[in-house]
Amino acid sequence: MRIAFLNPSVGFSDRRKSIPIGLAYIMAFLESRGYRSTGFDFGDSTTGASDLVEQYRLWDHDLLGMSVYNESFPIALDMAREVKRRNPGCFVVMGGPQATATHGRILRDHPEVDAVVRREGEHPTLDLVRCLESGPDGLGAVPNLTWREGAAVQVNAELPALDDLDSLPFPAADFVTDRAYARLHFYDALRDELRPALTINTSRSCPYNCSFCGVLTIGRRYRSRSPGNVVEELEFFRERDDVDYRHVYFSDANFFVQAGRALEIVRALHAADDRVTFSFGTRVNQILKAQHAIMEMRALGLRFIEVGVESASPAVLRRLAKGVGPEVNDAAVAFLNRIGVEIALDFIMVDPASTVEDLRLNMDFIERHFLDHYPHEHFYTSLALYEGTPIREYYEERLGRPFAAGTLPDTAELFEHAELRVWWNLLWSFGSRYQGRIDALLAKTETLLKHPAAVKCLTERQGPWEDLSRLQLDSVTLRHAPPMFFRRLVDRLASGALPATLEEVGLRGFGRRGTDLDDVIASATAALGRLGDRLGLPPGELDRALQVSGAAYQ
Amino acid sequence: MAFYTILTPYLDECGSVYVAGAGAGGSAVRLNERASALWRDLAATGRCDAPAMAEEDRAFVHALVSRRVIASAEEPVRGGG
Ligand code: B12
Ligand code: SF4
Repeated sequence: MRIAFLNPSVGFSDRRKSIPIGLAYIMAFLESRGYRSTGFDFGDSTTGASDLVEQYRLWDHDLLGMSVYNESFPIALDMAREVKRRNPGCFVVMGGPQATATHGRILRDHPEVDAVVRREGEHPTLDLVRCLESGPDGLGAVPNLTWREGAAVQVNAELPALDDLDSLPFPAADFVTDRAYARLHFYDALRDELRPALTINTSRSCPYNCSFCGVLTIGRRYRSRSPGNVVEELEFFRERDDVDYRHVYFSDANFFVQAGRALEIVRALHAADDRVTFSFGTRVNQILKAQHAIMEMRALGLRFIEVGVESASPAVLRRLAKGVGPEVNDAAVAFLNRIGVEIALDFIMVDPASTVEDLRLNMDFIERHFLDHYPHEHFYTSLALYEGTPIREYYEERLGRPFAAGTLPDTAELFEHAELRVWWNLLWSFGSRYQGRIDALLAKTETLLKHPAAVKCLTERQGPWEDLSRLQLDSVTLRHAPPMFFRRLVDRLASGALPATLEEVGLRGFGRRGTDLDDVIASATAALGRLGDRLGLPPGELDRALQVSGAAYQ
Repeated sequence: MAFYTILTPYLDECGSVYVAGAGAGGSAVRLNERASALWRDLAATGRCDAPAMAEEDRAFVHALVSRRVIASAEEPVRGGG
């Protein structure tokens, strides 16, 4: 039987591109039971659906399993149609968060899809393969399957979520892709070292109820692997890839649900190899509740935590059902700053009912904690209303109409307050005029200023140290420019003005000389060229550094 | 009264003073609120009244001198007018 699994495009490139881990688990599990399959990952492809189907002969299989996110659903359907057109005999099954959330409707509305496997896929997919091998008659017995019997949609009973995660083989699977994976690295600022990194998932699900989170669709029961099994996975991939992985990105939805469990895992990792550092994602309240555990982890190699702060507005936090107030966010961030654990922020700048006051609170929070190292991309975030989540239903009720099935509503069309529409338009105008240039410049200035030749000049006050000093300050201003501009915008909106252009908001008064933002950009660009030559950096050195930093996960 | 010249470029933005090259590895340093106020004063007048200062402020000025961010200067000759 020719089996393939496919990750269709979400339409944009995730700089943290990794193999689709859910599919890798399923493929490894099938392989362990004697079924080989081929993986295709077009998660960030911009090539059209039918071209991919044709070029990679996706239709030429007996079973094609697709992992479907909300973002990739329309393209997944296009690909399914194309596959079926060329090979009606190919059994097309979907799985993943979006398919689980909307299984009944998919089967009702889309004849190009034969079935959906709901929730976790390993065991049900094995049963499906076995069933298809002996003809399509036994589909009623495949657990977690939603399928079509004549005109009727059948929803089979579900297996309980797998408790013994150690019983699963490691997610070792190869994927054909049209855009190569950058090798995953972690830049450890503490040791000024770029290290090969591996992603490991040690648990499934999350017991919390955040209203926007797609983890809901996988189920609530939190289950964990044993520490020994996690360490074995690191060793397994080191050997398989012949790479000395020395940083682990734990990709669990919520790694720190049980502090004791999390500690045991990192203790085991540290005992196996004390050079390994690690990072994970969790909630603010858990960090505060188990500060002692975080401190111990710090000593065991914890480098950063992806913290689900989401908003600094009490009203928005309530809508998101985070179950914490802004003061808890502040306390957790202050604690991590104090003990020197870096923060990768999860932040949702606006949702449809956001007000100028919410924006003001968010700006205050950013300035309070992150002014000099705020990841600017967070300014451009808005709440995604995933299907199957309570927040989507909340907004459907609030607006008195359902959103089009299978799509993610466009935030810009949902704002309830005129000021927020102005915010959104000017945010994106600023983004398209300045942000790309600022990002590219900052990556280069910050790399140049860390270069040993530059550090020597700056510390010993020799050579072009004054020019370097000015570039350093321009670099600070480039970090500040977006928050400064957005603060001005919020202040204008709060005063009742509705500015129409960036100029009306104010593009003057930036940097050492209080000039236009364009001047700061021009002066930093010129200094980069000049200083690169003076310090004798080979041409292209800063561009190379840029590629490496782009490969880092954070 | 002691007089000082500022030797390094600096930036006063978003409520804080940033001094180039004054941190570890030649990085820029962001001064806290109190230090920023002191810096602005020093930048405006070129002097500070060390004996009248709080201990921590004196230590800060001392640190700036030892890192060659500022240097002692002669009392500026005032233009006759
Ligand atoms: C780690 C993670 C990532 C990592 C790695 C993802 C990867 N390549 O696998 C990174 C950072 C790269 C990432 C990227 C994105 N992610 Co993400 N991610 C997660 C996270 C935190 C954990 C997922 C995980 O590892 N689970 C463990 C594995 C084993 O489970 P699984 O992937 O769900 O797969 C199982 C089942 O779903 C099922 N299954 C999955 N596919 C299929 C296919 C078939 C045929 C079958 C039968 C079964 C099946 O079986 C699998 C094995 O049991 C979840 C958050 C969460 N709260 O769960 C979000 C989450 C899955 N991500 C999400 C999104 C939207 C994205 C992005 C689009 C970017 C974004 N806007 O955040 C991209 C898209 C990536 C892509 N298409 O390749 C959403 C999905 C929401 C939705 N309804 O669509 C989630 C739920 C978070 C959220 N925002 O609510 N993500
Ligand atoms: S804590 Fe994180 S993973 Fe858990 S429900 Fe909330 S957002 Fe989702």
